[in-house]
Amino acid sequence: MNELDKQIIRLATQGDADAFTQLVRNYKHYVFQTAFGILGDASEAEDVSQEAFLRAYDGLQRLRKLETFPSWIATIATRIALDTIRKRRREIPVEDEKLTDNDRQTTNPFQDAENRLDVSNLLKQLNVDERTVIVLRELQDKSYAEMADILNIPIGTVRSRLHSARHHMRDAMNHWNRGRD
Amino acid sequence: MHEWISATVDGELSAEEKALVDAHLTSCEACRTMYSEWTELSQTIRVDLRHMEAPIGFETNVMSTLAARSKRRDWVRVNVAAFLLSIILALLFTGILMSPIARLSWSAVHLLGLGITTSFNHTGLWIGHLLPSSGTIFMVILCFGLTVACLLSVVQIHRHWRTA
Repeated sequence: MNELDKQIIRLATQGDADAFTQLVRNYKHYVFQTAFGILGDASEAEDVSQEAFLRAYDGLQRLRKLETFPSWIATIATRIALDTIRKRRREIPVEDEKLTDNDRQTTNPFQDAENRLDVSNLLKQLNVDERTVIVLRELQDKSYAEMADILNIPIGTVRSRLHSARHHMRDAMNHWNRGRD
Repeated sequence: MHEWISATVDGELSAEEKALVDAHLTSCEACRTMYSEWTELSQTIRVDLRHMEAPIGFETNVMSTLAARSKRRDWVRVNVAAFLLSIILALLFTGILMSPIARLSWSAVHLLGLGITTSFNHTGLWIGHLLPSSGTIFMVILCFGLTVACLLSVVQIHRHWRTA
């Protein structure tokens, strides 16, 4: 993070609306990527991203270290996205979150993507827990300890979820490769 | 071993664990293939996720929502303040009406009225009875007005929360 970024965050914490607009402009893609990665739905991801910025606006004055802003807002977005999924589960019991190996094998993640390796299709092969650890690891660069802290689970569970996610994505890719041959 | 290979991709193994994985990878082709596929996969996801973009006009939506929310909050603040003020005033006036000092004051007013009545009886002009009764009516109207103000505030706040 450069000095200009820090200056924008500092001004935003002091209630400068223009600085906050600039902050939203600078981090909107990152926050949206986090929400979309976990939710897999663009419309829900937009709502979650917006809510993340609104909460950030309320909590900015409590942010002690300005350079932690990206990580801080990404964590807010992650928590809201997970809450959204919990709410969604309560309203409509979702079966796809418990994908069986059979389900994963029978759906081709790339059939609608003109044979292109598409990360959003690939993530759809995973359940929410797997998607979340992948987003935290690959997008937010969180360590296992940080992920365990955010998700309130043991480090061993983080490790096994990441392994399981990679295993399922690899299977999906192999399935796709076989389909192409 | 597969979990350890996944952790190797993330650089999350201790030196000892990594040495064990490295030793295994040199002798196991299947695991070597898996390691290289997972590393490539990790790289692909990193790059692809970062290419996604928020919808156009996103920041405008955020800022207009913030402005609307701030307006709404101001409205609630004013109404809650009015409600609390009404209650405080109502309690204050009720307290004054019920307090011993108020009773003494009323008695004094009565005595004063009686005095005025007596004195003006001699002159033929009688206005003493008007003093306490007009004060009482004023207080009753005031308390009633404040109670109505409280109720209106409650109704308004309730309607606002329902629409929000």
